[in-house]
Amino acid sequence: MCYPDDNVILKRLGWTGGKRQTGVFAWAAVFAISMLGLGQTAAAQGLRGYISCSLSQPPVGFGAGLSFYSAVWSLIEKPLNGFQIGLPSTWIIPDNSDNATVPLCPVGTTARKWPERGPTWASVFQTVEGGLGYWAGTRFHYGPPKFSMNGTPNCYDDEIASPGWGFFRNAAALPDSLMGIAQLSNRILVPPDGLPFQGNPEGLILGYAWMALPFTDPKGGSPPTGDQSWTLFVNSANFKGPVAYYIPETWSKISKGYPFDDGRGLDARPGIAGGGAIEINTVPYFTALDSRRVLYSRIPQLRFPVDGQGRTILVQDVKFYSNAALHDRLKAWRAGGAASGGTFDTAGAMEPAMTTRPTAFTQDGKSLTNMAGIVETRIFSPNVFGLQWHANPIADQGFFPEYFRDEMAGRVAIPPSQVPSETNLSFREFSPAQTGTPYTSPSTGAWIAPGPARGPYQATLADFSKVTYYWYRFVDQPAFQQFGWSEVEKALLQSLVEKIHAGWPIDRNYIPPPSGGALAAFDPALIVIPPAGCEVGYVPIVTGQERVPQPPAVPTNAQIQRIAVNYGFFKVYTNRLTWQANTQNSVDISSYRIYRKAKDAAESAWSLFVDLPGSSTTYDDRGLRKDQLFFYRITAVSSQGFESDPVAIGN
Amino acid sequence: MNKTLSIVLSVLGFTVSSSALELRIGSFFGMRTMNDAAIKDIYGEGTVLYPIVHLDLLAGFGLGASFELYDRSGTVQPYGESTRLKITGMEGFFSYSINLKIARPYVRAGIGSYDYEQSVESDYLAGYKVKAKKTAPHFAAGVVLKILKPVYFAVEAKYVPLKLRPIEDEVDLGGWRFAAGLGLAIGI
Repeated sequence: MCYPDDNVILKRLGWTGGKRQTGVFAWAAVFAISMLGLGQTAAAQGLRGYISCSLSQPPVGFGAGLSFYSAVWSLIEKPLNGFQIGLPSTWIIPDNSDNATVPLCPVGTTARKWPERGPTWASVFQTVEGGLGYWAGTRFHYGPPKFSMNGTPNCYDDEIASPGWGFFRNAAALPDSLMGIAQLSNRILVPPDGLPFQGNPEGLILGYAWMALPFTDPKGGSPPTGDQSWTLFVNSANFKGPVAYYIPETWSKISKGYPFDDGRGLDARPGIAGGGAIEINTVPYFTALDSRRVLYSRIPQLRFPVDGQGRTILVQDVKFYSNAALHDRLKAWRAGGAASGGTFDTAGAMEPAMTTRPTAFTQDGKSLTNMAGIVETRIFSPNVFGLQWHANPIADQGFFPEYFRDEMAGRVAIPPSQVPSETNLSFREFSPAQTGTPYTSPSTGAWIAPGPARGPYQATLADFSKVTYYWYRFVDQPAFQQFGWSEVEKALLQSLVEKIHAGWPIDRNYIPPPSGGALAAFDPALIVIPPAGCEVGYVPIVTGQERVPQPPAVPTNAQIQRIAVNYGFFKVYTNRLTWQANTQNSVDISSYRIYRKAKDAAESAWSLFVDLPGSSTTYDDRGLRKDQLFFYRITAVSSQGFESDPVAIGN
Repeated sequence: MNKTLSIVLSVLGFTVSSSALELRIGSFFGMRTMNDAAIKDIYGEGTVLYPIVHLDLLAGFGLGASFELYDRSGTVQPYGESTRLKITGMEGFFSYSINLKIARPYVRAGIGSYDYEQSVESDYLAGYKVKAKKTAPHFAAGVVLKILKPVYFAVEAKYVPLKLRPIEDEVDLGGWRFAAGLGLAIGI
């Protein structure tokens, strides 16, 4: 996520080369929909745009943390192949505003090849990003978005997204030397494919925070390492508290061999929330010409939760934090002082002022000229940002237009009724998302030395995946093994974590509660209880994630038609069965099975009647007498051999 | 009797032939209608061929026999199954004709035994066999034209009512035959 396209976003929001601008914290909903070459035009950029608001710059000292609440909803009806969306998320970089000339990215790093980021490359030096969204690399799809961390410690050479794993691109675990996130919580799993939610969290909110906390002391040497462990806290309906953190050495590594970066990483510098983005890209896009050679286009339907006043709340209750919020109390507790309950002290918090930016959408480089009459950004109250939907003849409130017509002045959103039938756009089906290969970790190196204390355990998640996890003693988890810490260092850290496990429950409001709205719940299967003997000081580390074979969804629109075939001297009857593949299916259908029983027969009389190819949508039960009446059950069978629930029809 | 009949026909303006016995052997070929709509949909109406032997006896009365053949193929929808219907009939009849020398109009009526058989190329029709026999009357009227003796030419309209129920539905295989015939007329 947040690859070079974000450069554009940041620049539009007032960011240039890492310089701290006024009003720099901004939320942006960026629509970047690219065509896949479907339809009659060549592949091109489909739709791009922004839904954004800016926040006032926080006072000096409030770079120790950030929290906010973001809406969680299913933007699309079903997961689509190659569809990438980021819902409102944050973006934190180290404050290097004291450097205006020297590159932070060493020669040879990925981002150093992006000259537009020069001269300091501060905006792509190190980032904490991620958040809610759909990503093209997601391997297990289920409907709603997922939550995923992501951090880039070395100018985008690497991305680190969970304890032991990168950001979707590779199904193999990170090499030992590149791991950078430590699992902190002993109550929630962090799968490499992101954290799914419970049910369909339509219009609910998730609170999360990134807090720089002193789990370890600063270290000298070459390179030096600061004491900031950027820690993810979440506030959901069924889990509250810290989840995991970026190990400080993750950030300081880059200055080894490049001393200018000493003390300039996120381990040592205040964080700047430099921009957030909803990104939508790689979205399927159909185009077609009508009989007059006018181009029409269609994108998948994008849905937003709308309240009774036509509003979509996207972001609310943004707060910046100083060390007084939690850092200082945790440091004192670690040093033997009073216990900290972990809640963020509001004395160390401030709320920025919000301002909005007008929306601007383009498709294929052409502006969508009539979107203002459909939806606009709005600040609903001092710390609540979202969308105001207007009553319009093109789409219902909360639905982004699906169809567009090419005109001289740009692209115009149109209602489905204005799409000529000869374009066949309304009949086109977007390809459903495909399941990816399993995540696997090696049975070598940091995964086994010193290795876990208990396991394996397994949990089946809402995204139809199964995670395998082991309980590791906190300091024995794989991400730490590369650093060669002393036993004293380990013992100090282990001691602090054991106190946190014992004293910070998962139902406490660490992040200040939201001013309004209901919290979404994570998939309950993520919530775990440590086994006996591992209640404190042990954490669950996911070692693999694979697809759980799922039965297909029930066939839809099943109907039966009685047909009399007249042979002249007699009639023979046919029961013509028709059905449709369920569009919710994310698995391949290899066959349909039809079961049959006579109308008056007992339930035990059901028997498999015929097994049809997966492309079938009709079957004729022929040669029936007039008095032969039947009930039928139709099921879909996946290529893995799993059978759906039946749909029943009968004479 | 002959005298009386001659008087009657003379009154009616006809001239009665002096020839009393005549054997006609020939064959009719023509169009056939099919009363049953479903059968007609499948097989159409088609043609009919029926050889005939006819002996005119005394005073215009006669008797005869014929053999009728109807053999049609068709397709049953919606599955496009090929089918064939074959109807054969052996008919015997009595006739009455008026000998007007060149023209000899006649009427005839009789009874026939009709064999009918339907075959369908289908895997779904076990237990549905149509092969049976039915007796039914028939009626015909026509005229024999003796243009070039001993050859005669004839035209005839014939109707066979043939309702039957081989399985469950009543089927009317009856219908009109509008045929022309050619044969030899031999005076005896």
